[in-house]
Amino acid sequence: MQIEPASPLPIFQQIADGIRAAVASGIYRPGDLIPSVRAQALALLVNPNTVQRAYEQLERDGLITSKKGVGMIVCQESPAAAKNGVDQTLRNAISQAILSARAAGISRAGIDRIYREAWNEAEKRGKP
Amino acid sequence: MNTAADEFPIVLQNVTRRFGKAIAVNDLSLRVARGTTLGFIGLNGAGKTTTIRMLVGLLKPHAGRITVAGCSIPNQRDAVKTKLGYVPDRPTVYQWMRVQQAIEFTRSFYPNWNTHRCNELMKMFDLDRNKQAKHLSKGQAAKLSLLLALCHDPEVLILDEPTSGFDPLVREEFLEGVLAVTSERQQTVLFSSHTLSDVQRLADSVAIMHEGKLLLHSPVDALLEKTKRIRAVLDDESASRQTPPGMIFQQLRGREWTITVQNFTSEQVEFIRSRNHVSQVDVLDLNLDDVFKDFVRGKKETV
Amino acid sequence: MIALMKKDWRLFRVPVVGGIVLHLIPYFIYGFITWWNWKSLAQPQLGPELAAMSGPGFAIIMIIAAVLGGAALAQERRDRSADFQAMLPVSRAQIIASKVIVSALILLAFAIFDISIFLLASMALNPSTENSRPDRGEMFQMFISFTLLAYGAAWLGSSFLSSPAIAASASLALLLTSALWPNLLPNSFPIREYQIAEWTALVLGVGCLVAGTVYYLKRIEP
Repeated sequence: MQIEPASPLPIFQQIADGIRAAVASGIYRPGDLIPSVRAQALALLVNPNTVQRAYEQLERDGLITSKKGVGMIVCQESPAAAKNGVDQTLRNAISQAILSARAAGISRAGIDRIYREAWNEAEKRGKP
Repeated sequence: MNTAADEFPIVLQNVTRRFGKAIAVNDLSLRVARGTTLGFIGLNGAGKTTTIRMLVGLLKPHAGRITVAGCSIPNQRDAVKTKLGYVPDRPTVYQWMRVQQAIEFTRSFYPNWNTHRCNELMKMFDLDRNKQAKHLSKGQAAKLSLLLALCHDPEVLILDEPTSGFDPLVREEFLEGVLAVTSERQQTVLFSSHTLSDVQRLADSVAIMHEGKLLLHSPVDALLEKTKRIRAVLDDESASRQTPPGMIFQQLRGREWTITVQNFTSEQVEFIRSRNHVSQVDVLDLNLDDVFKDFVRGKKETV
Repeated sequence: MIALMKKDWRLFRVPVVGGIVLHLIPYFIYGFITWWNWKSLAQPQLGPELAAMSGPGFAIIMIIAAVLGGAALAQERRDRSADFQAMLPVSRAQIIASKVIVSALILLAFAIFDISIFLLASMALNPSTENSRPDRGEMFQMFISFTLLAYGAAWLGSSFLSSPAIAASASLALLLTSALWPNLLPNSFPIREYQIAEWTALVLGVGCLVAGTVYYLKRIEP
């Protein structure tokens, strides 16, 4: 997980989205321990209060829960919740792309075409 | 009075400092809440270092009151020294001392020296104990200053442009050192920096200084949420433009007109749309770097 | 406190080493001349010659006093370590005490050396019969007063300047002035010139020392 301070998206949101994505893609499985607030803050070089805020959001959304004496662990129902949840980071990236397209005078149909081409490109690259 | 001091370990009230005819700090009032980190930003010469030197008792203010950890500065300076950690913009350790010597020398003055912390930081910073301070590189010297400032577990930590001129790796090590300590305890931190991405990651709130005055003081997230840039395309670039209330800064590039506003509401978008001949209006989010620059540019224009 | 004194001892290393070298030079010169003259007809008188050689020693102590006084507070200001010291939990009084004590011990060591040589070697020296020449007690008093002035004036300069050299130079200039100004007085003046010089030096020396100390205690900047 990388934090982009240059991105206008709040850092706590980027952290929450990073963990959400990790859960959705199976990097974190239900029952796994996620890094403590302090460890996460040190690893990402961000204010611990920011990490705390991210964890609180994930807790509210039911992705993680606090287990006494152990730390924060991923909930059983998490993967489904993560996949269905709104990934703000992704949404923000797409919004930025849309803004650039609008600035360049590209139409809605135009950006649809670009999107389809980019998706095919990514699939092709990922193939063995 | 005691509870206020407990809540706000750093308080500046109407602080002013002149150098000859020039006013370096002009009627500054600012306070930092316990356990939070304040990012102190501004152009070179805005008054950040002067303010910091007054805070730690190295410079006398010409007006106003300063309170750190409940003690009045500079009168009760001596009482606060064991609770205060200060890392200056340039290293001040005795250049002829070796790293180990400097540590032992400093330790002898603090009854509350944390040896465990000292060893932990020595390992993290990978400093050569036998090297003389004058032979340390810029980054190593700063890490030593930081170590000496942190090892007595200060309640208040003040850093003056701690990572300016560092290579990227050293910068990370330095910030790790700061975070390793501040994330464990309820420490109040004030640091000035030109690296706004650092401020965005580490600070809870930010204060912008400009020409000796405090331009704004706000939590980082709230500031970024409320400050937006509205981009509009003008039909006629030479026509007079009507700017919305709350505008900080505007720029015209050909037909592209950008207006940065604070306390963004959709009404401002409406204002621009209705009072000007524009097509295609977009609202852009800004990072701290953008916000800072627009605030300062806006101030420069009004002068 | 001990840590402070050890640090100040290291800080004053250059004046001390310089002082030792300067101190020994007259003795080496004397030794060389004696060796040179050994073969010639004139047999040198060891006692008075050696006693006379300690004279420059006393003068050099005054110079060292000025250098130490000048370096006391100004040196650290120049190195920027004054800022570092200012952040340590030590009081101004402790900082002052450490520097003065270490300087005093250094000057005392030099003085003991010179006085010992002087006393041992001057057993053969006849006490002066002229009134205008001060006797041993008076010479000792003069030495104390002028050394005090040398240190005190440099100390005052050091309390607000950033250059040890300027403080020391100003102090030595003041030293010379105090020594020579009684010559301006009319010959009919009742008190002896050397006594006036001595009292001038004493009063100025103590005054500067006190003024410098009080100023530094009150000053905010390190």
